[in-house]
Amino acid sequence: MKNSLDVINPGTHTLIQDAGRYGKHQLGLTTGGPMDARSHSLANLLCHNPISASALEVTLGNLEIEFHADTWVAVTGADNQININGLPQALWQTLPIRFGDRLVLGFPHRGCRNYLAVAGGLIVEEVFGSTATVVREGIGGLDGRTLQQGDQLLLGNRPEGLKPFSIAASDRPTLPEQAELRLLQTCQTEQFTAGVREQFFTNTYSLGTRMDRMGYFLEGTPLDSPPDGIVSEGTCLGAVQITPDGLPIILMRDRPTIGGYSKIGTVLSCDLDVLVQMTAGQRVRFVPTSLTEAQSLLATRRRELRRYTQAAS
Amino acid sequence: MVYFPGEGVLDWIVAADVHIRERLGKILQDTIPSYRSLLVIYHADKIGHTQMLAELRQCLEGVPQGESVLGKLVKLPVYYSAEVGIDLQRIADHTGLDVEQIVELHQGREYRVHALGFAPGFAYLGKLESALHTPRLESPRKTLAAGSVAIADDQTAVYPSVSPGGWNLLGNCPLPMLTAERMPLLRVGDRVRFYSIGRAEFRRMQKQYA
Repeated sequence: MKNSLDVINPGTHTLIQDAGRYGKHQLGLTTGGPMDARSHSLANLLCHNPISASALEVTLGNLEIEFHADTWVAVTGADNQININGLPQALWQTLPIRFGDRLVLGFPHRGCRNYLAVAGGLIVEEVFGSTATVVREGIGGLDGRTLQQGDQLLLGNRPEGLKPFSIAASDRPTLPEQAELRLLQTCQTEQFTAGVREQFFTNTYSLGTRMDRMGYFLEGTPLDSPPDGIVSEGTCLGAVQITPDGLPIILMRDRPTIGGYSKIGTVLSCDLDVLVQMTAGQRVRFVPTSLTEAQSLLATRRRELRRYTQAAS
Repeated sequence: MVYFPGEGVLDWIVAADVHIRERLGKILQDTIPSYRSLLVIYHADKIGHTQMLAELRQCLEGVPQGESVLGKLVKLPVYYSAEVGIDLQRIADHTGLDVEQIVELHQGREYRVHALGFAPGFAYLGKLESALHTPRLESPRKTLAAGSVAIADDQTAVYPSVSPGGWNLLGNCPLPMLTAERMPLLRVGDRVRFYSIGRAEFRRMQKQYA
């Protein structure tokens, strides 16, 4: 019998995600992939998987699964409680699993997305080179849909001699009530007058009812006289579009790859990891950043992942 | 983002896209060609920004300009009718044309695929006769039928699958925009011609491809 897990309760919105589907924009496909990429990577590293392995993205918790394998799991992301066979366990560390164990993930206290990785990864057929689920496209994961009760997922072989470890408390996300999102000003920033840009960086926006894997529609005081739209062009992760009514949309993992709204800049991907854990009513501000700072943050992130990759080896 | 100045730059963009992908393959994450631009997304952990810009500039100089890449010609049947083209009246009111004139103008041109995006297989076609230009709806509709043929400003398109959308509907194309393997029928650079079909033919084709 092959190693597998059974979905007893699929939770509110649970998706299979690898690192994302890249190189397929030519076909009009978006990338998908984990909203909180850092937590996804760390969950995989705790299980000695490559960071691109297929894992579960559990939004708003309430997942219950039963394992048909002796293996290891790790749960990262939102502040939440998990138990295995009724016993509370810790997030952010490698946990042993015995054949028949039941794992329950609750509703998050703070934050909203958890990542559950299994040693050896989830074995899912790739579609256009990736297992990332994009519900909007009906592509990836299990027929492009969220998990359902009764689903059975195959598990990879657990590596020999796996050494369990944990992520240092200082390396876990802070899940703030308010966040500053660092914005890289890009080629279209110039289309916004200095006055409008100042207004944009002064405003505080709140997360509203429209925030999903495609984009986060922010609420707040509209900008005066936003620029007209542009000739439709490619969009990237974290791009901040300003709609004709003067409010920002931050483009996320399942974004349309072509867009006709002017973009005031791009939010750094490391700050998106913070944003995607925030919930309706919480507030954000934008602060300008530089390419130098962005590259240095990227290098820090790389060093951190390398450190935990070594911890796993 | 690389912008291409002037009119009629589509072939240049397609050529640049092919060239850049060939030359910079491994450091590229993806590229997105569109009307006037080519978005180049690179792996920031494989190359620094300054060096990437230099590579890109050098690469762009080598693009064979003026060479025509002419994509394939695809002929798409359309059932133009208020039954499926629920915005025909809105388009008529906005443009001052009658429905017959709208249909004549819409099928009277050869379009080029300028970009693919929004949804799998959604091809942005341009450019529309200026007399037909109609702005998007104030707020997009939640669901449109697959095959909906629509216009917005100077663009036209066929919605490949059921989806939300804010463009003005003038008919429906019964031909699937995605193959059984979910590959898009149209690619950037391809040429498209629409031709009018009647209700009976439309229903017959709908059944054939269902």
